[in-house]
Amino acid sequence: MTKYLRYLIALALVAGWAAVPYLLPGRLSIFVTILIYAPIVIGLSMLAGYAGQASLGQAAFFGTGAYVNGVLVSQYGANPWMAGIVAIAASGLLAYIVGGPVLMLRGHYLVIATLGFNIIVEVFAKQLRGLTGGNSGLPGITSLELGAYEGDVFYYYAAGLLTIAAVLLSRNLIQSRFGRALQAIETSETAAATLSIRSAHYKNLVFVWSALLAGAAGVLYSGWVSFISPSTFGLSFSVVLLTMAVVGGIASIPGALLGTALLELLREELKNAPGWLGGGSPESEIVVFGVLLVLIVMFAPEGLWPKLSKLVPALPPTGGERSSEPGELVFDRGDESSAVLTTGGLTRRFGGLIAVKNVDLEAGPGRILAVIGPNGAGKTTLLNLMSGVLTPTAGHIGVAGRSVAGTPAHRIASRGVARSWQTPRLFSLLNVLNNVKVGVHRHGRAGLVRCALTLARSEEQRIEAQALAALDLVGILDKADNRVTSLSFGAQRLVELARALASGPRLLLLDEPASGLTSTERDQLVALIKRVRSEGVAVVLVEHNVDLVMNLADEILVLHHGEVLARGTPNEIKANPSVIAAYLGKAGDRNPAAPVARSGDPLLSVERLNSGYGPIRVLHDVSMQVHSGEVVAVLGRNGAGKTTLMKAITGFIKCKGRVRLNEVVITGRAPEVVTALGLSLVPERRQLLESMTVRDHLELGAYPRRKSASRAGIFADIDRCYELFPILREKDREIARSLSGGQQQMLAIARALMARPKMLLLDEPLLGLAPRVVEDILDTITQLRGEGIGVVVVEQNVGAVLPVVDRAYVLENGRVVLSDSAAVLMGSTELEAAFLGRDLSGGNGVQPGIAASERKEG
Amino acid sequence: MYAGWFNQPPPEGESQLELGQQLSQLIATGITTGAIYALLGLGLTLTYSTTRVVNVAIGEFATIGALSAVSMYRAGLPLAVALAGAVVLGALIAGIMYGLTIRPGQRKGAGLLSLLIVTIAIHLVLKGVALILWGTRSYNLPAFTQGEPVRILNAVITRQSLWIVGVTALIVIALYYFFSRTLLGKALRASAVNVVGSRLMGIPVYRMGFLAFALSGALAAAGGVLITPDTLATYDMGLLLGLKGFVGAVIGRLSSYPMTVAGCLLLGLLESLSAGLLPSGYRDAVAFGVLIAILIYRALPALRHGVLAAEEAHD
Repeated sequence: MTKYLRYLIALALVAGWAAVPYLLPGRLSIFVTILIYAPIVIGLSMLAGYAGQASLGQAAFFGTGAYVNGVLVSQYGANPWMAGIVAIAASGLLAYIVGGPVLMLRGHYLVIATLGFNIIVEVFAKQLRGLTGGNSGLPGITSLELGAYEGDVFYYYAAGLLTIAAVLLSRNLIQSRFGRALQAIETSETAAATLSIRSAHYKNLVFVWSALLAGAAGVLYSGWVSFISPSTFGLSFSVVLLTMAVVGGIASIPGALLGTALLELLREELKNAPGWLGGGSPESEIVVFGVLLVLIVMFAPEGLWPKLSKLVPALPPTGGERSSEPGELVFDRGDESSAVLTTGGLTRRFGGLIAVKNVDLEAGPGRILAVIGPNGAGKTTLLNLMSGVLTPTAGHIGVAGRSVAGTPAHRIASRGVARSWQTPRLFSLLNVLNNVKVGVHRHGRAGLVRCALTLARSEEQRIEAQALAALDLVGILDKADNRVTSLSFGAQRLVELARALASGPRLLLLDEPASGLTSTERDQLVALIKRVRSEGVAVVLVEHNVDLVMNLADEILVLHHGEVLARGTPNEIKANPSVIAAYLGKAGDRNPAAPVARSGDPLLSVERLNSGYGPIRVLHDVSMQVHSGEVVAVLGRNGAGKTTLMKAITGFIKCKGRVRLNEVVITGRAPEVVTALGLSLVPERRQLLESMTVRDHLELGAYPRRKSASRAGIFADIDRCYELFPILREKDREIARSLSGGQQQMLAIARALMARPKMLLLDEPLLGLAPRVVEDILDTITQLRGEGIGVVVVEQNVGAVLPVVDRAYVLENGRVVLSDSAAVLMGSTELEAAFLGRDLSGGNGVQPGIAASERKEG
Repeated sequence: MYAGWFNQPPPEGESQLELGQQLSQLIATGITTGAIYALLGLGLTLTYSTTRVVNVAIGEFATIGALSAVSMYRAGLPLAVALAGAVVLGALIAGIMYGLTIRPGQRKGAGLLSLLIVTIAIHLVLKGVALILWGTRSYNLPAFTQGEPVRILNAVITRQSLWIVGVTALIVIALYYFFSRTLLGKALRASAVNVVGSRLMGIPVYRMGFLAFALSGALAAAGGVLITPDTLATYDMGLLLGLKGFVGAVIGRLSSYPMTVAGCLLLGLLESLSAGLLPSGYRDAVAFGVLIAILIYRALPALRHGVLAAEEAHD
């Protein structure tokens, strides 16, 4: 039914368009202008909206079309029809040549480069006077005509046909394999590459497409006005074009039409505006355009059309009329006996840090290889190397017997390697089904032309059948038409999984697929991975949930500091003491501090805190108290919500609930205010000012006290910091980047102390530090406790930290599951279970402290 | 036909300058132009590093500074007062721009591209306002000191050029002192280096953004008034001036102040020397050709490290 309604609306629009010359003959020129600009704006919408490549150089292609046509016709007396075709081709060719290098740039660098390109083209139009007439312009361009149609009427219909063609072809493109690739690139070139999309190719072609439309518009424009001059095609016109696209809605074809029409009519009206508005003056519209652009970007960043179309509920989105049924997923199969993936000596350096070091592994068909390891062990980097989104510094990677190290990600993907991401990277412009169709990209062949002309219907049906099959396999076929942004986190994971499976990969790389899932979803996931294994797919699984890994894996590889610490079957890994130590850390020689009974009001009080990121809730009703002079640990495995808790307390993310510091409510205050109120955070990864000196850090650490404290007082405090960490005194004038990890951690703590906090939060202060430095930091914590400061330590290294704390809270899935004194927790099997899963810790209750001492003896 | 493509304008003045003399003249001009670019480039680097916004509108502060200085001077104010007033006005408008648009935009989580578009829009608004207030005429200011041009190494240099280079040098020194010796300057640097780290130290980074914009407005206005005696001021002179400053700042990677100054001087020299080879109309093409080439050259290494590295290198 709605299909016919669509046709009716389209028919009415076309009839209305055809009738304008008869109904409004006096105002035809404004319509011609709108219809000439519309194709350029549609092209810009494709380029900037759908493909995410914003350009301020579209006027240059408009000008190229106009000038090539004008010069050929008026200087060389060419046939106007032939000249027009040559001019359009010239615009496309220019875009092809310029696009290759320029589209390597991203974001605002791309905008600035295209802007520069526009200025260069304008300079040439002005300077090649012999050809273009320079600033005085190029007159005498013969107009096109066809039989009785000439002048405004001819150009009205010609521009109208061009606009209709631009609308139809662009719409076809958007709904095709080509357009899906563009919309994938818009969100993430990296994710697109892992689905075998070569983004440079698609970006360049859509650039050419936008230039062809602009060039064609230029040809019509130059014939219509028969006189052109450089100023028409300058940067300011590119700005006008971008304004039109943004006002209407940058990723929308109807929006492009709406924006063009609105702004052109507005321009026309402004010419008759009163003088105080600058009416009648040549560039009077720019103030209004500018204000309009600011208002739109600030208050309706998606543009007007998306807002308007919500008001018209009559038309449901297309896609309800699906022709295909779920097909069958066919997985790539090679030789059943040989490895699908092998790596040898695989290494990746980031500056001084070796994230992955000499990793050898093998993944066979129909087997699940799990990679586990504590935070920062290099697991994700390993997946990034195997999927090719990062190039290895050294080493070898083979996929199905062919070497792929150094090969671009899209080519590795086309060999049948698919992956998921730690946080799903779904393409937000595409619905669920289309996201999954992008997964089938590598099985399609249709290019720009076949897609624009819908000549690839049977291929499209095959792609759809395969995408539906993947959705069916994952169990979310009913969500096919949903927008991905409206899905829950768990559902987003499943969509991404379906997308990875849709191509029928031979190797599936999964990065923490279970994190953030509910227990039902997790069970579904386990069943699914088993199913995929039974299809003969090789699976590499990075996962923190040890229960799940033990349940699924055929083989386990344990990474620690980027190196392989252990490998073997789940049972072998369970029995390996060094694995347990890597997870829990080892206890030092300290005796636990005697617990002190606290009374009175707490210094820091967290009450029923709920927080998260967007739709994802991480913290659930977390409550905790810290008294002055007390050290409290927050423990829990990766993803338990520890860092999120720190961010919520210090005001970096929004939260519900209440946080009080000394009876002052600090919930919802900005981080800098929280610091000034006496709560300092030493964050994960330290967040130092890399290019500034040690002394700068300490001076700035006292920034909140700049009005109350004397210079001498601040210097005295700096001296105290240097007494606490003597090594920093020697490094006084050195920049933070040049310090070792341990020194950086000391500086981060010293900097926080400079604000004279009442309460100090330390997030993973021991991560990656040498044992001796760990001792130093632990001593400092003990010392601070003696000075009456309240301290919270978030740590994975439980063994090291428990002896210096009074109490601990254990987080699991964003909830406090355990809280007790350190002495009690040290022997607790509950604690181990929270870290390692019930399975690994088993019933035998290996205590971290005991495990360590046994090793010492052995 | 083809020979006519490059219609060389007739050489001006003494046509038979010696090569050496011509060269030193070109270098002197290049340094003067580069000094002006440096003022705008420093402003851009300042706002980019503190707020991550590329401020396309920065040239408008030069325009408004120059034109308002002309108006104040013509209204009878002493030249020095008019100049100071213009600089203060530039700072004020830039600060208001940040407070009214950039800051609310960032609060709402607007992307970098949206904010770039906002600054383009502000460029349009300010240019339009200048058009309404001052029209399309060119305006002049007297040179800051009267007198004959001086000769340095065969180059004839106007006194105003000496003012331009001298004032720019003083500003660079003052900025150096501000950023390396004062707590406020260090706080501003800190918020440019690491926003999270700075907020943890209690530095109000958004107030620092305001300060950065105001400073950049003052720098641009100073640039605007400095060149007016030599080149005349018009309502539409801002955009290109700002973009040239941007080219220089990009050469300095938009992060280092000394490199920005060096980049801007280099651009000034390049433009000036290219005028010896190409008709002067190609000056802008040279500048932006250099910009595009540098941007692409810089994008290449990230590509070698894989698509993820290339995508992340951008932020």
